[in-house]
Amino acid sequence: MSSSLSPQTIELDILGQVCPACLLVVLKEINQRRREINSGQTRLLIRTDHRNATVTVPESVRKMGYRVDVAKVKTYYQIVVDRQL
Amino acid sequence: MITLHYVAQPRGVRDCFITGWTWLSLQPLPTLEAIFYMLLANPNLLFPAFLLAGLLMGWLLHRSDFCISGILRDVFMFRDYTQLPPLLLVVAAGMLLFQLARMAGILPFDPPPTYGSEVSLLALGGGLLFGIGMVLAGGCVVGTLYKLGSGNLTSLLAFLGMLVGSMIYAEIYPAVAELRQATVLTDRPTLVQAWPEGGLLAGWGLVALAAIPLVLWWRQGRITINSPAAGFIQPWRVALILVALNLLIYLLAGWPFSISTAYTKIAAFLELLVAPGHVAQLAYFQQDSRVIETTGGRLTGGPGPRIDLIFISEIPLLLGIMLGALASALALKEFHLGPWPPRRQGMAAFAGGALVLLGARLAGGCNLKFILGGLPLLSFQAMLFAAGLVAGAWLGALLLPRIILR
Repeated sequence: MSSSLSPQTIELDILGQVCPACLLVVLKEINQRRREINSGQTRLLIRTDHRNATVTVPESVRKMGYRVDVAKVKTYYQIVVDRQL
Repeated sequence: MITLHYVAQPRGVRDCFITGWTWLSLQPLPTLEAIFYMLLANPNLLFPAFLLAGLLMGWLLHRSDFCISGILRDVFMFRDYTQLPPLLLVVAAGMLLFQLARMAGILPFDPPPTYGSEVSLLALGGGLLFGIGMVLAGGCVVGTLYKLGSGNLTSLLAFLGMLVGSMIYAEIYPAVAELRQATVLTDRPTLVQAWPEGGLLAGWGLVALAAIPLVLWWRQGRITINSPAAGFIQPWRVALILVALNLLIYLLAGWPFSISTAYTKIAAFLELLVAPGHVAQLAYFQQDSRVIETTGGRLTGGPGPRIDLIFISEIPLLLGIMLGALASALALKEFHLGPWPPRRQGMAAFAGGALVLLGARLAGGCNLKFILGGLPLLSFQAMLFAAGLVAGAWLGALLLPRIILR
């Protein structure tokens, strides 16, 4: 129960990387952690400074059935990938 | 008199604007002949004009992430067609405007002097290399500049790769020149010249054909892109502004945008610092790739390390795009230099950059020249380049995951 309330956050720093590498790296990470994210144990926090990744990553990840939140933090963007509530 | 007094003492931005407007309204209107090709009549204006155009482009491209290489790559790599509408729009709207301008008699039917008179099959091969390279580099000759302007170091590696690609091309140029001559397909560079009766009509047919999916996408709301990025500008708006800007530059300077020779020139200047004797021996750096006759005399420009027509047009465009993107990133408080990408990504960007410029030199231009200007002008060279570019983007999309995900 506690895992679903406060999932462990795995941080993925892709600052300095450009598309399509950003999306490829994120999709690889999600595929590797698919079970943990689906069970609610884990959520993925991505840091990117590539503006286009704030479009491509959420779009692809939503199609896979995950919940995505994007927020601007300092000079970069933070994308959180979580299982659907 | 009251107005003049007011003009003399502007206070604040609004007063300055009114002052400028009042001054402009007092000037006699220039004739159409004075406007067209005014930059060629006053070459001193070329540098500031191309710098301004570059600044605007850099700002808009950074805000919209309108990236031709990204659009084609995402189609093949992720089956993502989201950004395809603005790409089709940029070609279709360009074709519509150029056709109208030709019919109105303000643009010539002959292609601009930057397009040469012969069409070689090398444009296809060049497009192929360019396509593979732009996927590996994460951007084309323009995309790399606006990403670099916002502080991205992957794009710096791609930029350096482009300079090295230019240097390699200068070494192999004599062999390429022979190959180019051996693969000439026609000496009529555009459809309008090859088929005077039907070329223009075919252009209208293509505009109508492109309008069908565009209208459909518009009605389905698929022409707009949802982005949470700060200060985002819709790519379709930027596509239309780029088309208008390209026509304006064509009218004022006599040729539409091109930029890849700027990289070659920068590479030549750098090589000159290290090996001046070798640079003096390279045939490619001695030639003029652009010769324009004007009423004031002949203007020439080439890839070599000298101040010429390329130096005062393409170099300020290149600088302007970088600075415009830098200004946009600073205004959004998003400028951040670095960090370096992972090693494999960095190597792919560098090698991709070299392929991009090798491809551009083989084809005689880049995607800015051929997609924004060449396709709308119904240039055969642009059609060959575009076909190669699409095939190259497909190959690059197959190759890149194998390189960076190992």
